[in-house]
Amino acid sequence: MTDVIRTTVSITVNGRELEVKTGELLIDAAERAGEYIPRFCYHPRMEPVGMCRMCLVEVEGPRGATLQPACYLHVNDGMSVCTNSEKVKKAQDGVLEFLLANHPLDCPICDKGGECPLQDQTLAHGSGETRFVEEKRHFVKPIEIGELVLLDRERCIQCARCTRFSAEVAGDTEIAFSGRGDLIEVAPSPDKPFNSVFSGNTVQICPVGALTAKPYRFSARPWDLEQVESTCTTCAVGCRIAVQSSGNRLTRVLGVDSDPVNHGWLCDKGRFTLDSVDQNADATDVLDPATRMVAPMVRVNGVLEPVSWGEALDAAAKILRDASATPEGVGAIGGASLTNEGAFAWERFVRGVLGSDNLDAQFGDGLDPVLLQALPRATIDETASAKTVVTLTGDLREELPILFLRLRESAVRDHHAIVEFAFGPSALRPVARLSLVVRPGEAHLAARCIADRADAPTGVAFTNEELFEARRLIGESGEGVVFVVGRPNVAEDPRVLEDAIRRFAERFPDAKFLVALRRSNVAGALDMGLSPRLRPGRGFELTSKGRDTLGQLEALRRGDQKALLLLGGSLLGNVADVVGATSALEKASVIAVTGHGGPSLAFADVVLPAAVAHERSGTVTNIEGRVSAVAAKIVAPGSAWPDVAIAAELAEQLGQSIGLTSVEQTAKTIEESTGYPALSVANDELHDGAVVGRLDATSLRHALDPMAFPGIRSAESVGLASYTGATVETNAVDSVHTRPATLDVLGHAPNLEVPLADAYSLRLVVSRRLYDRGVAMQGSPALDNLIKATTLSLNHVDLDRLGVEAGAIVRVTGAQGSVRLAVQLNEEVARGSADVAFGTLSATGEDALAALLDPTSVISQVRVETR
Amino acid sequence: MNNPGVYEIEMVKNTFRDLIYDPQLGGGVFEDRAVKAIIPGGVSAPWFGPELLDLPLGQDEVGEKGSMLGSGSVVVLDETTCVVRAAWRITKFFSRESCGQCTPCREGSGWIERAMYRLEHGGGRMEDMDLLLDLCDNIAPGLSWPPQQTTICVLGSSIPSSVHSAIKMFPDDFKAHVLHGGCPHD
Repeated sequence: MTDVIRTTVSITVNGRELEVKTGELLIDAAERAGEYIPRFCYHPRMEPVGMCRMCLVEVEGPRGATLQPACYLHVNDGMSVCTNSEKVKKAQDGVLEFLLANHPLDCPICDKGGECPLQDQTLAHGSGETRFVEEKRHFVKPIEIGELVLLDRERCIQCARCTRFSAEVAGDTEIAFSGRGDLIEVAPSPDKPFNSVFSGNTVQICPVGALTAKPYRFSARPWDLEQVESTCTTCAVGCRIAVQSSGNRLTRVLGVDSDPVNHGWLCDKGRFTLDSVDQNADATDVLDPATRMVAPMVRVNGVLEPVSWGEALDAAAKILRDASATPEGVGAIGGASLTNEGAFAWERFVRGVLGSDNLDAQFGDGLDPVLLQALPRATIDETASAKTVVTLTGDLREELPILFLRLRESAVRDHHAIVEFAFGPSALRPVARLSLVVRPGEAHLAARCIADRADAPTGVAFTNEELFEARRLIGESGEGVVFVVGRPNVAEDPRVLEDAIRRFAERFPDAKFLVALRRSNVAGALDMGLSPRLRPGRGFELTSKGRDTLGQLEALRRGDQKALLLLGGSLLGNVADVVGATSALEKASVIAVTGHGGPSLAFADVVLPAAVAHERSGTVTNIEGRVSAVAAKIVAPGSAWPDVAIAAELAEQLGQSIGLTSVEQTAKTIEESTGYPALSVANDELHDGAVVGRLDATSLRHALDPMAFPGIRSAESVGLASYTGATVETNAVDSVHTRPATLDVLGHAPNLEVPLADAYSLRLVVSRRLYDRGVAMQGSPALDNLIKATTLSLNHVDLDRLGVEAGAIVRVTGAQGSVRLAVQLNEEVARGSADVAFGTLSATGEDALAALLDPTSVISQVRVETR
Repeated sequence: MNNPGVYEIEMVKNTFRDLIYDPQLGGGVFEDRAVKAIIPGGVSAPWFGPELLDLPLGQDEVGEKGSMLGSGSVVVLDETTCVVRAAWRITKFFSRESCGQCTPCREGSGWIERAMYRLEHGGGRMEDMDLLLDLCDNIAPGLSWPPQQTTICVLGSSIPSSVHSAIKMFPDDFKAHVLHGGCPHD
């Protein structure tokens, strides 16, 4: 006998018979059938709690029809439900009246007014008159519970969306209910401000104006806002967003619920960095990342002076022409902040016009792109549903926050195993099944031991027990396993991680890989060929002798390369060896194509102002290879141009052409010439984009529920973000270049000489923080106070050994100098290693991180002295 | 009561009258006052009038008459008792007991408590009785027995019992409170 598992059941709603999914919630089933049941506490991305009671409906049972919350009831075969009886209406009206009893009704001065679920429901169902004549409950009006969030407890309707989000989704403990009865209140933790990197989500999902965000408060009225749907490019997860503006000023970014990517959530950096786009257009300090580049500039007598586009292009062309006189005299660095169209245009310019293979979108802090191309890739969904996920990354909450949320949910809700290569502190630690501790220079050894079933060599931080458990969780062939690979430590030779990744790929042929490179559109820039051995559309050319970023900086120092095209201004803010990069820039003729200022511009001879995020349309590619549309919401300040236009004009100035005239035509060219999805993404009504090389990415999003995501107007009501253009007939997603069949193209694995541990030294881990001193942060005053002072984090064993107390200031000496840092105790740092945050120290000067790095060695070691 | 206390007696074989007046048990009402109302089984239970004194103390018997033996803690309100004050104090207890999770109980108990406080301490309005009954109905729809509920747990449906009983059984007491501008017993 065969048991047939039924995937649907029949229920009756208001006399109508419906086929619905087995086990789904009644509130969802009814909504899909067109019966919208009002709700406040229910949120489709969180577990139901049935607290607000707004969704009460009549359900037939053995003792007659009873009122039950539709959000808390799973459908059963034969269930009969009435959502519109007098009794239901009376109960729902009663709940609404109760909710309004103590509500201050201060809508005219409330940010939520105009997009408030409570206001909307009251208008739809409320009585219009209040019967509540008692004194309302009073609390001190908004209290600041964190750097970005204010809480008005009088407006709160105790739906627990914010507290559930914090506890259930983010795993934070800073807010919780306190008190009882009608004195219950959302309370901040007494000793910990609500500075979770996810705090803005609580504001977005609050169904009233109880939680408001400091940067948006009182800045606009919802009915004055215009909106487009776009993709966040603050990191490389590619969260879908609604970008809203009033006039030509960006006012707010909200998370859009994209099923394969962000589930509606955003990190606070992505949500609140929009100040960096439209503020400071009047500022003039070109070295400040907060300054917007509004006019082309040319260095005259050592000072950058605004000039016309004609003059600037002329000066740039002269530099490039002179430098091209010597072979390999030019090159380009950067491009991760470009759109795919911008990256494609610059790739054509550098290869086609300058005839150079010297180009690289990574800053030496990434991984070998050819290796990454050779890996079988996993989507975020596949990673979140894998039975075992192995992470070889830095702290994902700091690097790719929404990927952290997806993995945390997978571990906590679905009980999937996370095997974490523990390089340093990590927010996944509490939910990981196994944390395999590796010090710098040990990851490849651990990978070899797992792959070869070998015992741990002496002197390493990981144990045989950990190796055994890792092998057990990965299994024989790696089936159902996803390796998430990134760059956890920029003070370590990337070949350590690359060797580990390669071992795993060779040993576990059924495993897949999610490439967790963190910077903006770095995946798209690499796919567009901004790397010496890559070609647009995921092609590759292994014989290329082009130089990557570190190679170009070296060539510039030697004088072999004369000119440098900087695509984006963030080189000095992102390269680990700032000292070496600075001396390279000093010798070079530099043309900077950038929308922001930055320390790199101290060395620029020509500055060409470019449009930045929210000012340009096109497509970007996220970590999983998903191509999705970005939209222009506002006009770029001054005379900044889109990158495609700059590249085309500069080519023209050199008497050549890149054959690209507009963003639309560039997208069409990308799609037609390489098969890479660009134009079809925007035209296809695929809000969630398309994953390169896959045909299964056709998730059409259902209409947004304004109760779940207040403030976002659905794409159906305001139109898509897409630019218009001819639809490409062929399904281009299918015809992407095939990737290397094997990993053999990479040649022999390098022999990595890791220096022996010396008893007085600590191995240095330089890890990434979300709140660093990058462009996004420095241009956003709202986020300024969230940047933490850099500390040296040590395990208590090393603290004791050194005889240092937490908080003490120590001298840390590395290969190229020393810095003074405060010591912090952190047990997640492996014994014998020390953790320092990247990008929170200044780029140059006495506390420069470069002092601690050892470019000649596989790992960097530091000594700590108390004097 | 003359002899308040805990008594173990056989179910059904005794009546409320036995419990209240038997010298071995309650021993009669203090100063021989008349019984005004009985709360049969804890403050969650709807009240009985003196006409049910001869009802046997059994689950089914009490249930059939629209209340419950519940915890078995029988409260006797004598003729000098202010029923408004009694119902207000019971509501205040529930308002303090409410965990605050679900709306009808959290907000309903507080609202009813404040309205009852007004009636007892001055500021009551004639329309408050209808308002209170309707608020009770929004917590326990139909005000039937056994109660229906809009709340998560039965604490919610326990709130209306005393207020509903007091208004239904002693409307004149409420009117007197309104006309007197507070409790006439004070």
